[in-house]
Amino acid sequence: MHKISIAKDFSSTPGFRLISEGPYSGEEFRKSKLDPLFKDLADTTPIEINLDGVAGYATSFLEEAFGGLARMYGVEVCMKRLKFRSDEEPLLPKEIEGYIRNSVKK
Amino acid sequence: MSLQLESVRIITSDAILYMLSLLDMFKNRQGVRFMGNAPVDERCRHIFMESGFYEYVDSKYSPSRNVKDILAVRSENRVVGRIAQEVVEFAHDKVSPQTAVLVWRKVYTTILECMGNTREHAYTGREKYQTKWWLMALHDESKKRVTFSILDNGAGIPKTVKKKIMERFWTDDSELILSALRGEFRTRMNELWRGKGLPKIFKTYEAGIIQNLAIISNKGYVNYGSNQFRDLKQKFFGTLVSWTISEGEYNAQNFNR
Repeated sequence: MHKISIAKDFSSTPGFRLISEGPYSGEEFRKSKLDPLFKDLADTTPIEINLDGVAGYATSFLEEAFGGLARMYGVEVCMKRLKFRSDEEPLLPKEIEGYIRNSVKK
Repeated sequence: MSLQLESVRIITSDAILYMLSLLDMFKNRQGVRFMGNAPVDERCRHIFMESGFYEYVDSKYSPSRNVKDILAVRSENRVVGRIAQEVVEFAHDKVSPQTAVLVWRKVYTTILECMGNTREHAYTGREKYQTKWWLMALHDESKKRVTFSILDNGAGIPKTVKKKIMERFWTDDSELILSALRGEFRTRMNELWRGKGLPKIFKTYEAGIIQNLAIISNKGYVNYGSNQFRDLKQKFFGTLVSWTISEGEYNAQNFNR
């Protein structure tokens, strides 16, 4: 299993949605940490995302990182491979799964 | 241009931010240079000086730097988590440090959503507005609470949200703000996954984590602290969001929303 701690491997102060909107954005996280693990379409290794240890999250950060990933690789693949963990905000994993499920264009 | 401030007797962080944002706009667009004096009233003078107001307005005054009750004005045109974290740390020192981690995470989120809304509501499609935000926090020891204010001079929420045909003609600005807070689909970009920032702020308010939520945008005035929801006679240029966080017990069950 791959393990990513957002606080340790990315930033303890995550930003907003797009790289153009400021540092440590959801887009930056997706491109630097998630994309490389999804490039090989045959790879089904689970990825555990530890959401704790940060100052907090903007909804746009989470939506762009994980919803954006689902728009690229599909909802099913993302739901299957990504496992979210948070002791500090127990309902956050469910919220992110919602962003993945609702990530498709109107 | 000279600002005569001696007679000012009441001043709020909101008013300081609004003034600074407008002065900044005149300075950048027309090259106007501002000078100013300070109020005679002691409390007002303290707020003006320690807010960092005179770093933007030429004067003989400068902040003392060791003040404890004011987080001086911060301003940026990007969403910067590090600044939101500074604000959280300021408030954390003032209200009960025992407060749950989750409360501070939600406060951080609220600050980021406000910074981000500056960008989301800065465009009307045809025009591009200034996308700078201005932020300040004030500790009131007698009321045991910290007030946060964040303002921008963008197009405003009512002007930029998606409206139904009839709403374009007679819906109050305050109604449009309330609708955006409720999370009704109003994102101009026609992308279902956007427009979640204001509903998130509102949920944090409903959970009791932040209090006295107030928003002024264009003519809309929404104030949950005083229970006022109406339109103003004068248009406000941009959006102001303010709220407080107080010392006290937080019901953990409310956080799971």
